[in-house]
Amino acid sequence: MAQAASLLSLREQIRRIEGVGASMVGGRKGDVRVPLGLPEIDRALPWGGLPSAGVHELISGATKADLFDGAAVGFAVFLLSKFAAANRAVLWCRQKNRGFDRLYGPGLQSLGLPPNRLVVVKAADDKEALWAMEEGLRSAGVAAVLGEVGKLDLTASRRLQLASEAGDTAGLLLRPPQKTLAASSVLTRWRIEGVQAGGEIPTTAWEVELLRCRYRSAGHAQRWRVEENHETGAFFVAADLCHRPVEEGPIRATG
Amino acid sequence: MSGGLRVISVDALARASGVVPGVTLADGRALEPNLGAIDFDGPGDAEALEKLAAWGRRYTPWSGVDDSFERPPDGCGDLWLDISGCGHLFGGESALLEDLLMRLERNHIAARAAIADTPGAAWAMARFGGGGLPPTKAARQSGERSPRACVATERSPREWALENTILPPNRLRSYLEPLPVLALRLPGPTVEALSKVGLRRIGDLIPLPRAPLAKRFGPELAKRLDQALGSRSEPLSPQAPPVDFIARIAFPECIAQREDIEGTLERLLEILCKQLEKSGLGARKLTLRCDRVDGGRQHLHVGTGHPARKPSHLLRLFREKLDTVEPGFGIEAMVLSAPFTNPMEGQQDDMEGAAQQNGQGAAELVDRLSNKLGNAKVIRLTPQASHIPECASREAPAMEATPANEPAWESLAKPAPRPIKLLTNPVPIEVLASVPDGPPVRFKWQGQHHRIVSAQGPERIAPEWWHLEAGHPDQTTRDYFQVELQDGRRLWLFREGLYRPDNPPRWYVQGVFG
Repeated sequence: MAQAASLLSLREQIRRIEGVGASMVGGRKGDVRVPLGLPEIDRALPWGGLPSAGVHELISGATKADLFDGAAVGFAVFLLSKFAAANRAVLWCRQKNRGFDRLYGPGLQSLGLPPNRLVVVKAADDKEALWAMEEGLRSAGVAAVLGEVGKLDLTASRRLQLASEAGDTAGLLLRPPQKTLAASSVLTRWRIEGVQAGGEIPTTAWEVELLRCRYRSAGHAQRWRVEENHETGAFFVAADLCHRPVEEGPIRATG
Repeated sequence: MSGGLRVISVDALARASGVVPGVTLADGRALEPNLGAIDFDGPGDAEALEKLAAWGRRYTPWSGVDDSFERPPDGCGDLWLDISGCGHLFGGESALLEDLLMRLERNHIAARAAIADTPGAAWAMARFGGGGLPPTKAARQSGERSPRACVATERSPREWALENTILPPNRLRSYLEPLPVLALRLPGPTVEALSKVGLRRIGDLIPLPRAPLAKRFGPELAKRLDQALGSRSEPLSPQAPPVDFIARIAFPECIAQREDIEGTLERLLEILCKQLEKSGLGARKLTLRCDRVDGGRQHLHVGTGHPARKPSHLLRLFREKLDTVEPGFGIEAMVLSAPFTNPMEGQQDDMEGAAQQNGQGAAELVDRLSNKLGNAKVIRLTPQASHIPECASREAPAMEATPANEPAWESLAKPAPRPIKLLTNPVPIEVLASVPDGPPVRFKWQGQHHRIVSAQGPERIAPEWWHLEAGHPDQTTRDYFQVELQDGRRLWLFREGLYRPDNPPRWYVQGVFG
C-alpha cells in the first residue's frame, strides 16, 4: 500500500519535471484542454481531451499511400476543428509535391472546420514544412498546427515539441503509412484507417487506434470505431474494439 | 424636357453617330443601338482626378485639380501643372507636352492640353482652342514669369482628337481674341447677358472700358479677363504631397558586422514606427537601403498583410533577409522607408485582450511565413458562388486583404456531401455501371480493381448555361456520386455527359472524402 502511494508520488514528481503534458495532468500550468467530443476517447487520454500544447502524431493506416487516401486527413481535420472552435485560426503545412490535390473548402466545412480560419502553407519539401510548423507553433498566433511530413527523426520531433511548449500551441503531424514506427518524442501517436460504415449510403467511419500515449492512466481501450451521424453531422464512438487492461507499474519506456 | 436618364458626356464614336450631351439615353439608343452607357460617378471621378494630379507630379511638384470654375457635371475634369523651370528637364516644353499627352493616351484618358503664361489663358486654350471640338484641354504657360500648365482630362476611355497648343510668351492677346466668351470661366447667366448685347468673343471684350463692364455684368467678368491676360495674378495651390516616412542613420565609421546592422535596423524601426504612430498609419511595405562605401546600394523589402507598426514584429520580418546583405568594404548609411502605408487604429501592445492578440498573432505569423516563403505559398481558401465544384473554392494569398464583397462560407453550404480534397485534374477511370444512369458498381484504376460497396447520388451539376457555347449542351453535364469502396475509402466520382449507346460516357474521380 505504502509502496503504491510512494510510486504514485514519484510518478507525479517525474511528470512535473518532464514538462508539458505532465504539467497538464498535474494541473499546474494554465491548462486548457480541448475535448474531442468523443467521451470514450476523452476518457482514455490523461488530459480528458487533447492538451493545448504538445505534438501528436497521426499515421495513416492504409496499406500504401496513394491518391485516394483520405481517412487520416479526415481525422486530422476533425481534430483541427476542435482546436479552431474558439474562433481561432489554424495552420496547415502541406507539401506541394505530395499528391496532386488541393484542400476543398466545402468539404472542410462539412467536417466542422470553417475554411476562413485556415491558413495553408504549400511547402516545397519536408524541411520547409517542418520550418513552417515550428514557426507556427512558436508564434502563439494559431490554436493548432497540422503538418504533413514524410520523414521525421527524433531531433525534429523534439524541436517541434519544444516549440509547441514555448508557444502553447498544439501540433499535429500527419504521416504516410509506416512499416516500422521510429522513436519520437510526441505526446500521443495514433493510427487511422478508413472502414466501411456498413449503411445504405457512404458515411464517414474510421478505425482510430491510440498506439502510444505519454502519461496514460491505466485500464482503457485503445482502439475505437468512430462514425459520423448522417443527419446531424456529429461524430460518435460506435464501438470499443480492443480492451486491454494496462497494468500498474513503473512508468513504461516510451515506444 | 422630361425626366429620364440623360447623357452627360460622349466619346468620339458616339458623337459620330449623332449622340451629344444633353439627349436622353433612350434617344441616344435610337440613334445608335449599340450605345454603351456607364453611370455617372461624381465622387469616383473626383478621386480619379486627384490620383491623376498626383501622377502629374512626375513633371513638376506643383500640380493640382482645378476647381476654379463651377460647372454642371460633364464627365470632364481639369488639372493644372505649373511647369516653370521644369521644361528643360524633359527636353523642352513641347516635348513635355507630347510626353504628357502620350502617357494619358496610353492609359485611355482623352485629354487636350495647352501651355500659356496665365492659368486663365491656359484653361481657355485647352478648352476652346483648336476651335469646334468640345472642351477639355490643358493649357500650359511659358515665359519669364511663372509658367503654368493646365491639363484637362476626360474620363471617357475612348480617344479624342488630341491637340496641343503652346502659347508663345507675350502673344496672349492674339490667341485669346478669337475664343468665345465661355472660355473665360464665367457663370452661365453672365454669358447669356453678354451674348444678348452681342459680345461673343473675348476679342470683343478686351477693348471695352472695364468700369462699365464691371458695373453691368459684375466684377467676375473683369477679374477673369484680367486673369486671362495676366494683369491680375491667379495663385494656384498645389495638391498636398503625401507624407514620406523615412528614417536615416549615417555612420562616422562604416560598419560591416551583422550585429551592428541589426542594431541599427532596430533603431531605425523605432524612429519610423513613431512617425507612423503620429500619423495614425501602419506600414504595409518597408524598404531598407544600405549604402556602401564603394557606392553600391542594396535594397531589402518586406511586406505585411495588415498595417503594422510594432518594431519587434517588423524586425523579425527583416531578420530573415539580413543574411543577404553584402557589406563589401563597409556600409556608411542605412535608410528605412515605408513606401506603402494604410490607416491603423491605436494598438494596445500590452493589453491582454485575447481575441485581438490572437488575431494579431495570426496576422504576424502570416507575415513571417509569406516574407520567407513567398506570398503565393501561404494561402487561404476563399469561397466563390459557383455551381462548378472546382470553382467553388479558390486559393488566394493570405497576405492579401479579404475583399469586401466576398461571400461567407456558410452562405454557400451545399446540402449534398463534399470531399475534403479535390484532385487538381480529375483522374479518368474505367467504370462498370448499369445504364443509362445507374450508380457505379466497380471501377478499375491503374490496373487495380475496386469494388464499390455503397453509393449516394446522382447529383447532377450542369455547366453554367450562361457560359455555354452553342453545340452540345449536355456533353459536360456531370452526375456526381459519393461512393464507398470495399477497403473503406470514400471517393467522389462523376460521369461526364449523358449515356449514349454509341459514345459511352467517361467517368472520373474528382475528390476524396475523409
